[in-house]
Amino acid sequence: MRFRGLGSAGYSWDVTVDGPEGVVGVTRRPSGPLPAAEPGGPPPDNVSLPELFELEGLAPGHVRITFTLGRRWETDVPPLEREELEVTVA
Amino acid sequence: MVRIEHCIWPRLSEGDVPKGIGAKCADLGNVGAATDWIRQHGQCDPDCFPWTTTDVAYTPSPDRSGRTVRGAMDATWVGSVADQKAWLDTVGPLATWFEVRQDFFTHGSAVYKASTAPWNTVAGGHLMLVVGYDDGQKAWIVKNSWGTTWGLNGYALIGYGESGIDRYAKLGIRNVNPDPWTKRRLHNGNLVESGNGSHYRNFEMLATVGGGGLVQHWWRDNDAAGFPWHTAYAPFGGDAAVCPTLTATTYNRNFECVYMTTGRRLHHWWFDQATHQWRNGGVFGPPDVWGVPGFIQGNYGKPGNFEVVVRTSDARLTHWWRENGPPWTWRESVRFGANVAFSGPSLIQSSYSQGNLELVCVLNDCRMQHWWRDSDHGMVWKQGPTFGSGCSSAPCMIEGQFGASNENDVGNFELCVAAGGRVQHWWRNNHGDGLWRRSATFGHDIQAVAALVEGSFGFNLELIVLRYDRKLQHYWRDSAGWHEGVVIGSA
Repeated sequence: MRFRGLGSAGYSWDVTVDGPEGVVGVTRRPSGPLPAAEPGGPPPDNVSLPELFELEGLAPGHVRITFTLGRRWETDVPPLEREELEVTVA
Repeated sequence: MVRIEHCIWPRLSEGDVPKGIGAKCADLGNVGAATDWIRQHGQCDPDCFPWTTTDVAYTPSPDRSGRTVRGAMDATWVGSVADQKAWLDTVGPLATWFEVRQDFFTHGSAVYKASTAPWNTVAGGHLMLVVGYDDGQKAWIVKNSWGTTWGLNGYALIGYGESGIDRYAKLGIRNVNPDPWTKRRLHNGNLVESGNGSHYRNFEMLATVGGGGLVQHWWRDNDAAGFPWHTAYAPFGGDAAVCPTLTATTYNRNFECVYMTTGRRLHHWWFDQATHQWRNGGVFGPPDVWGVPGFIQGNYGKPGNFEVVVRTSDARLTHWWRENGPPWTWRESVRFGANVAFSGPSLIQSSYSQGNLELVCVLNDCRMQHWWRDSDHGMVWKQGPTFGSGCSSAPCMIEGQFGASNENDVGNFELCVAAGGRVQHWWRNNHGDGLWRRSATFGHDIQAVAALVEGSFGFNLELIVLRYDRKLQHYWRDSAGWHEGVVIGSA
């Protein structure tokens, strides 16, 4: 799963899995290098990288995976974006 | 840098530059390009164009050109850590690039060192402001742009070299030019600190010419040794009964003034920055004006309306306002008060609430009376306390920077008034008991206070007085007290 990133503004995607344990594994993966510039000189453009999650089927079953984009320290603020995924591992 | 170079807390929009550049939320792009854009276009306040988390169209208010901090903004890339520390010690903050990882979002009070766990991926490149350093903890002190609920009230300690913070040069700027909107509470009367001069801090003054009804524009060259005063432009008016009350507005940083005419009305003039000419804005007001007007640009509308309060011959105060859109008509709002002996350049829009209007007049018993208009509850003028005694002319008042701890805070009120040939300096502690206190009495042969400014000279107060011999004289206050300055010329 690939989501647009807003890391430079403090936003990140988090994931919760509802359902039996051991059906699906979700792992955050690097999404690529940042633009680079000559060390000691002006910095490169600052960009937010997309966020990648790798989903792996581990055992037969059904789970709901919810991805939310928010600022982790703003616990009383609703997510900026939300994506839900129904996953069945056969 | 506005605070450091000009002693003012500015309110600047975090959304203006990214949206002005055309960047998508929340990627500003290149810090050098952003600085170039600010140099060309300035940076406005949040009421002109706010920060949003969405990719909205860039639609600043139409008076943006008059409410942007700008200037030559000498940008310097500072490469070595030693030079960066020296810059922080002697100049100001530095913008830095930084590699944001997942654990930075929940970072707290410790010195940040990124976790090496696989989940701690890079989320993006980020820009922050380095405001200091702590060699004891081997850390930079940075101010982030994620609000005060993040980190240590919006700040953090980041270890030297951590997450690429020292990989690239850091960017410092100097020589900024704050706008009239930023400075609007820091002056009153016939003097303003303009954005003219290489340090953007020249004084501009209007005074009558020998009592003949003409008005002369004066300026003090604050770049030159000895700060000489000069006259500029042809005299204008011809019907001025008192020294004008001068301000600078969001209309392209134009100067604007209002004075009582010899025919007992009010006259508005404005200085066109595009053509460098004083232009006639017309006569308005009631037929019985009898005092020095207070005159400001407020925050109602964009460009903000003009507000005037002046004494009338029935010993009351009248409040007039001009909606700053077609048909540009002046209207009377209300008459209020009684037993008013002198009105003066004491009208301000304070930082209280949505911007209460405040003024101080002198009553027939020679005491001062504070009035304020509650902008949150019906916009009704309410009577404040009386204070002082023996006042013999109109007071002049500002809301200064003393007592304000940040750009959203209210500063103390500072007031000077002539009494018995001398000047009394009064101030109101707006963070304590709210009482008016007299802090000093100084000067000699003083008929009236013409202006009070808190300018860019280390929080000094600058004062213009009119003497009994009709000479205008400068006084100023620094940390050692009030000092007598030069005699400028006749009024």
